[in-house]
Amino acid sequence: MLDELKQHVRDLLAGDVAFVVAYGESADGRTAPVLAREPADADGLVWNDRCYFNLTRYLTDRDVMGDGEAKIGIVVKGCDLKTLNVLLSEKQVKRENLAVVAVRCEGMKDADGNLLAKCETCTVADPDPSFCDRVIGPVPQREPREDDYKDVDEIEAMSPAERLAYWSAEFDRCLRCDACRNICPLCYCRECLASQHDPRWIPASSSIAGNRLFHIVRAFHLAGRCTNCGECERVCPAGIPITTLMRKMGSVVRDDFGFEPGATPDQRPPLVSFAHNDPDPEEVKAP
Amino acid sequence: MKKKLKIVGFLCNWCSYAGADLAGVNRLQYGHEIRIVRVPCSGRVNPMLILKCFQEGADGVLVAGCHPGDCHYQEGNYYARRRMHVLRELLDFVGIDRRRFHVRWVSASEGAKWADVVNGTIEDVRAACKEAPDSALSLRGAAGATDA
Amino acid sequence: MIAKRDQLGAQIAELLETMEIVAPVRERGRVYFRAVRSPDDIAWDYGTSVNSIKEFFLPPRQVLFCYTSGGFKPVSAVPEKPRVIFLARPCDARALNIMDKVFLGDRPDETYAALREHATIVGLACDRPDQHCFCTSVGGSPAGTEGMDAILIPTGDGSYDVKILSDKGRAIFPDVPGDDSTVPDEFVQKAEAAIRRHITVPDNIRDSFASDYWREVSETCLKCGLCSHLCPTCHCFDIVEEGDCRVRCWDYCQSDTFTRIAAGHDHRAEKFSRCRNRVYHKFDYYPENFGVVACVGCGRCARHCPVNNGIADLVNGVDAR
Repeated sequence: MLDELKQHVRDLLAGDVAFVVAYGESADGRTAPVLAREPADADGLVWNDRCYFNLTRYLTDRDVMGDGEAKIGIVVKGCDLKTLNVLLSEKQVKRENLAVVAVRCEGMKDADGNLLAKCETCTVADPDPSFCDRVIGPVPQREPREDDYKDVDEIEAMSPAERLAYWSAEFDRCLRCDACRNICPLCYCRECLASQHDPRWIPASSSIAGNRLFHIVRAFHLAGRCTNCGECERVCPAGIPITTLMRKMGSVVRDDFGFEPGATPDQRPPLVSFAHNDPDPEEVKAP
Repeated sequence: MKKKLKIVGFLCNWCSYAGADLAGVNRLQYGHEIRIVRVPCSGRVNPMLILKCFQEGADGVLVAGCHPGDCHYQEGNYYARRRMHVLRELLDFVGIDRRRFHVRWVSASEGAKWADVVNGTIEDVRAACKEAPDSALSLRGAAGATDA
Repeated sequence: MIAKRDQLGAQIAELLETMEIVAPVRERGRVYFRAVRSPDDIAWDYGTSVNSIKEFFLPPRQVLFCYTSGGFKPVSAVPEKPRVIFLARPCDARALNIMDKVFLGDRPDETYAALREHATIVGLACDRPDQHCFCTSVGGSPAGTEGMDAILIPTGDGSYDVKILSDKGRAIFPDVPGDDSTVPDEFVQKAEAAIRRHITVPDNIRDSFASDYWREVSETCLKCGLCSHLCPTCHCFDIVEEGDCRVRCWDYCQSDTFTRIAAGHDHRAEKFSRCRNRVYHKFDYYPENFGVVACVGCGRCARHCPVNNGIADLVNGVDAR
């Protein structure tokens, strides 16, 4: 399968594609994102169970994309394809300039060799070919288990005071290193609200109150957009359960607005639309 | 000494602000703890404004607009309804007391309702303040200086 | 003098009555330096920690003073109890001496100076570097004692050979005979041989300033700043007003607003120039100003980079251009 992928990327690069964002090796021999530019670069591509990086992040990197007019290729897993769909829905990248190479996936593992939580419940291991230009790899064998949202439910079962204490302890760990924001493909604002000086919406320093605000605002800005690639939580040096917040937002948007981010490349984002039977904000849902 | 509450109200010009005016004209009593900010439409209310109020030490925030379906600008309050719903769910999830942030629909002819809404909000915020002195989002005073 | 873990633990329990103890603890599958409440919390056999001990000298957030209607209130960052940091690796301890060049120079930083004065560093000689450690390439050693007041040398069976290196160390271990403060040659040789990563720091790095090399090696960088946050020698900070207070907080050169000046101009707008600047600060400007490379080879940058960039190799490959 890797040979097929390499050959396909080789062909793309020999054609009119300027570069391909793919999985390769870093200078010190670890699996890492790479930008393959010459056909020979394809020889260095890899595909293994440490290819957890969501490469669509580079589609919103202005240094990489330049004016966005060049034709480029990108290797995506099924989960990354959802993020790509959101980027297309938000008109951040032009589909006609992309050669989307999807790879079928048996799941990714963390540094200790455990299957990532998101992979256990993944239903897109065999990517939808209508969103790609090529799908490579054997049909995945593993059956996903149902996502029980235990992480979200556990918190919802707490009393408000317990929830506050739980999240305060988490936000106390936050360094405001911005790694979660900087790795997120959908955090692409030229100037992040959190960095704005005037007005200073979110304090710069890592007070618990300030950290709480940062994460609240980030979760709000990703509500109805986040596709749960889980990269934010993977890179957090403090181990904060960021995906739990994002999944809560995802379940509100799904349950109350019937919207699933990344399902197709032409969705209207939920917070710039409405329905006449939307729930009233004063309604408190039964637990 | 009972703490003097500060509640910020974002009122849409066409319905809720007019409703508040009507309450005033009819001499209906409502709490002075609320400070009103007039906006063209509830749809204009950016969640950051609400969070900024809490940062600066507000004990509670109230957003009031036209009834869904009656927005002066046709759709503004529909967007607000969705946006505020997501914000309320999020704040509740991280443990911010629900009683501190309310979203209500008050029309220009509902002076009495306005007084009830404000007084109800003030009671709710006061009850919340009994359990915790601030919203956990405040940067003023002790919360900002001495944690972390 | 050889001390067993539980002996040291008992001593730490006693010290806890009057002092703050900082030591490595296991949290969420990783190791962090934290203030501990009991010696049972300590991860004695840790390899590397996510954070360094930098934050105990340059706090991530420090309230400088507050101004309210009650007046001006300065705030001290120095805790009431003196502090002992246990099991600091030679790289992290040495990093403090490197930061001292800036913070204890002509105009000593009050807080940093007080926190340095206030803390005793008991180091742990390193017998388990991982594939990212390269201390020997930048003037350090896994058996180094720079920056420490005492050092614990593991004997391999849960015991430690305790050596005193300063008066402060003597105060923590009054019973240890003080004449020999050297780490045995045998340990040094074995420890240094275990280092797998070696880099060459070029003498003439400034010649490569305009090279395309920097564009190539920074292609996949996300400017996320994790390298700067976790680096034991990175020390840039910002001063901001928050609520009623003036606060000093960590900043990082990869941040979009870091180099932004009046009218929004940014002379390091492109990603490659941020990457280059960080390398130059550590390997060119700092040595020029202070005579030492601002890197201790702890490997955190490469170990924790979200996209597995071999950051240690950035300076390594320069000569080839």
